[in-house]
Amino acid sequence: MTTLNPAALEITHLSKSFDSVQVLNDVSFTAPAGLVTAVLGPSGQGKTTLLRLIAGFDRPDHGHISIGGRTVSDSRSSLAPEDRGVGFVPQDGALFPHLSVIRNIEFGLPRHERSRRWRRSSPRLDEMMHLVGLEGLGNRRPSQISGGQQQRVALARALAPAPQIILLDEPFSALDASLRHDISHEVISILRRTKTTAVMVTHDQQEAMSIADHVVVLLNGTVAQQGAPAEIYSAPASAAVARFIGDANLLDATIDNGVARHVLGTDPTSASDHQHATVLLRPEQMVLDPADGFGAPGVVEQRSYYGHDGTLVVRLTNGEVVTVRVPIAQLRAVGDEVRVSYAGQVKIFAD
Amino acid sequence: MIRASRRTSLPATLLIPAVLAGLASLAPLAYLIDVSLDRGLVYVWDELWRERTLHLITRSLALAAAVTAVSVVIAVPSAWVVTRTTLRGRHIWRVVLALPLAIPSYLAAFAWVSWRPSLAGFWGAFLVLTIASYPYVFLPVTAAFSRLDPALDELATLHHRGGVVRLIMFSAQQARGSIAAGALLVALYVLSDFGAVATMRFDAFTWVIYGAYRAGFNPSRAAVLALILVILAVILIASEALIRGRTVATMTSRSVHRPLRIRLGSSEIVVQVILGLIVALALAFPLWRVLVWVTRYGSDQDLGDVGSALWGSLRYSLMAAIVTVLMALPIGLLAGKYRSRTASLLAGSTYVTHALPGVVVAISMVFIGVRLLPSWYLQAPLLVLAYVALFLPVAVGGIRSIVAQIPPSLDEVARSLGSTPLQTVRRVSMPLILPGIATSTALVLLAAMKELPVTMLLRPTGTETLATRLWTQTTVSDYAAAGPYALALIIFVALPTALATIRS
Repeated sequence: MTTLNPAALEITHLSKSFDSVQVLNDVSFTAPAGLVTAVLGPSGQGKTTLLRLIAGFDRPDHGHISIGGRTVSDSRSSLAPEDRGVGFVPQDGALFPHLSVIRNIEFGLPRHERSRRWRRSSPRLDEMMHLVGLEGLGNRRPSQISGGQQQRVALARALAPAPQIILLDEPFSALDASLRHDISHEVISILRRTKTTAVMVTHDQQEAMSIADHVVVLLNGTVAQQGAPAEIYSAPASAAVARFIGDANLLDATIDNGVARHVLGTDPTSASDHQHATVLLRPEQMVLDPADGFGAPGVVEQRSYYGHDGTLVVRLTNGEVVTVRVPIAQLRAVGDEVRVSYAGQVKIFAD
Repeated sequence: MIRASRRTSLPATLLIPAVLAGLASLAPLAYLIDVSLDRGLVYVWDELWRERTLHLITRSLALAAAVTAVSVVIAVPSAWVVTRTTLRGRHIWRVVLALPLAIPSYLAAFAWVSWRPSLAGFWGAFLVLTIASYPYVFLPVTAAFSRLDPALDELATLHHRGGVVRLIMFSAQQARGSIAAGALLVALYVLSDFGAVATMRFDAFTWVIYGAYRAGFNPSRAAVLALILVILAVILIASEALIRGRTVATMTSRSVHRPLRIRLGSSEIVVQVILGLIVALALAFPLWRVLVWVTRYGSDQDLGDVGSALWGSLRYSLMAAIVTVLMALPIGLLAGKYRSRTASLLAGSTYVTHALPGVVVAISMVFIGVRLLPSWYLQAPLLVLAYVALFLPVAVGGIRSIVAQIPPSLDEVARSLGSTPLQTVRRVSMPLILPGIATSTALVLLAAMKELPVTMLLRPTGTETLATRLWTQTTVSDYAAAGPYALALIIFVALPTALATIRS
């Protein structure tokens, strides 16, 4: 999927420090045109800085940024934010408090495309109001509408001038949990309908995995992996990525003659011999064996009930702890002795 | 986070005019230093350690401390009850409590001392200066309180159920920048006030300096004393910067619910009485005295004289207000937008001249006029320049605090939507700071209209203003003749004060 689309945004060897703190370190990635790219990483890892560099609010120390094939920033020059054709939706929405919803949305339109005082409508404005479903709220002030509506106004305002790319900075983190799911899917469907290239930063891996087409994992100021969500989940590039994306059981292992040995068994591997390796097992790969089965013995330490299924946290005899996702019928009580094994492919990291 | 430590260089388009405005406001100080050093450093040192000088410092500081403390104690709870409670008539109180700003200290002092001559001295000066200057705290704190995020207040209500004092303290904590700025204005006002201490015959700095100029015409001693005042002002400004700290409350466009108002219940009566008492002392009493002068002594005053004096006041004060705000804009924008040492220094430097007694500023400007700008001497430009030097911090403070409340992300969004930096100022920053500019203009206008010593010494030949007329009549205790000017001053200065307060 990624290779079919030309890159709308291309970032190469981007670095930025503040004072002596290196925030971004040699970051390179591309955002495919017409798709939603999520830049995913824990808080305080330079995600917002990255967006600010793309938008042109800050200048990078090194590296190259191009938008739609045009260089907007390199070591010699940097294009002003107003000349980049980039839409920006900040974390708090940042609506202009002195302007009505209409005037906010029209802010980036050229003068002749804005509505007249006496009509309060223009083709582009009506289109945007309809797109984000804010008809009838046009004359309200930002303080008179809800948080979700503010977010939609901020989106419409950024989309109105038809930017080449739209940047969203943790756009849903200020919304409460009940709204969050609906608004985020609504916003993404608007982006897809308008075929807008979007780059969204978030620390919420569930959000990123569920709504983005392309995910860039940013760890410690550098790109740890990029690709489709399913690819990142099933084939994480490192143990750190695996730990960050989804629930992961990471077990110590040794590699000897093409065989990885760990507490739950052995697996063939192409990796070279190694004393300290790690195997990844997702909780849904884990199974409980019958009491007389071959699984490794352990004791249930925690149980969580989710309705459709549940999880058990099991301490194995060697002290390692694994999470097992089980059907409701197999849920056990804390303190029960169980046997644990696994099915399917394991991922092995030799480090 | 990391973004907070972001270093931004100050844009030259703002920095250059800001530095020029700051330097212009420091011109009187340059003269002071020049005169002080005329007789050499040893003279300055000896003058500084004379027992009389030390006494003078103690007396003036005691007065400034007492007035500032009581002003804060009056202003902060009053501001809180009119913004955060269901107090009946709070909108009217909000205006009326700010109105004493309109009454010149020399007028109030005359009202009191003509009624009870025994008030003369420390307590008289303390009383008059407190009621004249607490609005300098009340106004910014009221504005800050009504902008505080109501969610925080609601949180506090949950945790400190019933404790009104603790609620006030909680709000005050968040508005401490505004309180500190207001207190600084009060302290500086007290140190530089001439009219009240002169009328109350309290030997404060200004009164003694005036004497040194007038009687012996000893410019060096007066200049040294004035320099000590400047040093005190610098110390005050530095401590205000410490209190202001790093946290600045930001405007929120997020809240959809109205601010929660606290019910006062049975204590409402007490609050109403206390507010009434403040207004009675600060506003009603001087008004009553003025009306007594006008009615009891009758008046054969020519209304034309009053009219021309009013025109004289209004004309130069309006010019001064406009020029002051224009000069304050670049400094206020820099200091509010960027947390840079240069910007803070610029904003702080404007306070220096404000702390100089008007008499000293006036005489400095006379000197500058005679020496450097002879064609301006006793002409409008020099008078306006003196007003600007005196009142720049009033405008800078107002603009700075409103600018600081605009989230930087608004500017950035505007830029990403295609606005150039200049268009961003026009379409985003300006509309948002316009209320602050209007308030600042009004405040400077009022301050200039009631200013006495500078007006007295620098007004263009043949011009009379309300303030100079009033002073002339009251020095000879001709209350009958003073009445109409006092009344006109109250009406025409009180009116714009009310307007400015209602607008904000």
